[in-house]
Amino acid sequence: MNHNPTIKRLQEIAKLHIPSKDVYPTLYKSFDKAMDGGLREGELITVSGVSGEGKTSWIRNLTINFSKQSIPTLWFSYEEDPFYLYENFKKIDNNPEDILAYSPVELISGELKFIEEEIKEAVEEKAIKVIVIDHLHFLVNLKSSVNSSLFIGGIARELKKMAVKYKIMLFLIAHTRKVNVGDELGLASIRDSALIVCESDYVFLIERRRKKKTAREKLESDYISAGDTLLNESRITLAKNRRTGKVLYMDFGVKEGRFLPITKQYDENTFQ
Amino acid sequence: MTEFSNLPNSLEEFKESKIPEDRLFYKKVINEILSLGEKLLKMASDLEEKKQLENSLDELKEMIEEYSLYPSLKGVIAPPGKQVSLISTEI
Repeated sequence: MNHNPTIKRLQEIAKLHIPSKDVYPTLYKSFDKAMDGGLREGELITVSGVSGEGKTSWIRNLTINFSKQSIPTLWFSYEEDPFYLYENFKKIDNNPEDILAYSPVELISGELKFIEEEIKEAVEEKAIKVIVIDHLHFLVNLKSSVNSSLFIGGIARELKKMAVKYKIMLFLIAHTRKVNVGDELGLASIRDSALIVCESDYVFLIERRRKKKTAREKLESDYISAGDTLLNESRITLAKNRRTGKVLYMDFGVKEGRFLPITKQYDENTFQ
Repeated sequence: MTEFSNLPNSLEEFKESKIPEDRLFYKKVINEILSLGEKLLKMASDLEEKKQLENSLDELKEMIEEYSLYPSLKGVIAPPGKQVSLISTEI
């Protein structure tokens, strides 16, 4: 007779897996409503957009929103040096020393083993609940000859498993493939997208809003500024929502890195 | 009140802190006290003393079970929602 069975009756196992009742709001009303109140432990959230259009900035804003609710965030900031990461926090918050943001002392590598060790320590010693990885492609050995899309999909799956194992919410920043100016972003715009999107519970797409120039304005423009005018506004689209299926976008006014929701918001009916 | 109510002020400060890291430290200290208490309980021979210690430990256990690392989230209850699969099976 096996005294340490690895298989038991479902009703016994179910008791060990009662879902947490805690919801972690992003403090952006429409998104929270679409996600049934907010994020939950074990979720993988991908944030994508064209380079320089505000992915990292928006997550900095989210970190502040979480911090306001005493929820700490650990940043794996491969793109921004911790000094500049903090400098950018300072620009958007009057009390940056109060922000519950953490970082590994040294970003030794982009290997999953290192990331998991840091997450484990962060959860066990600092009560971290949110992880940000900026960005996914730093976890990939670009010199490797293996199929990068499959490999990246594998990484996304491992990160999702970590989110479940350590009961955290993991934000993954992913670049888009080359997108032409004026093209609308969609789930397929994410670089090596298919498997990343599959593993993600939520996908947010960020794009800077543009104002189309009139023919006359175009004629009067010099060569360099002949394209559309960039506005200080960003549109953030919740493009995948595994929990409720609701997709929608919110427009934000962006001032010195601060994302302020514009009152007019759109639901999925407008979106379609 | 438990026999542990005379904890040093500094520990109380950890308990009331808004920083989850501090609150986690407090929780760990209480769990240490609980585990010491369990050891004492096994060694105690006086029945009255044993009963008192048992009650104190029960109260402390109850308190720490209800203690949240994220005080601002206390009371936020998830509305009934669709179960999200742990690992995607989409292709």
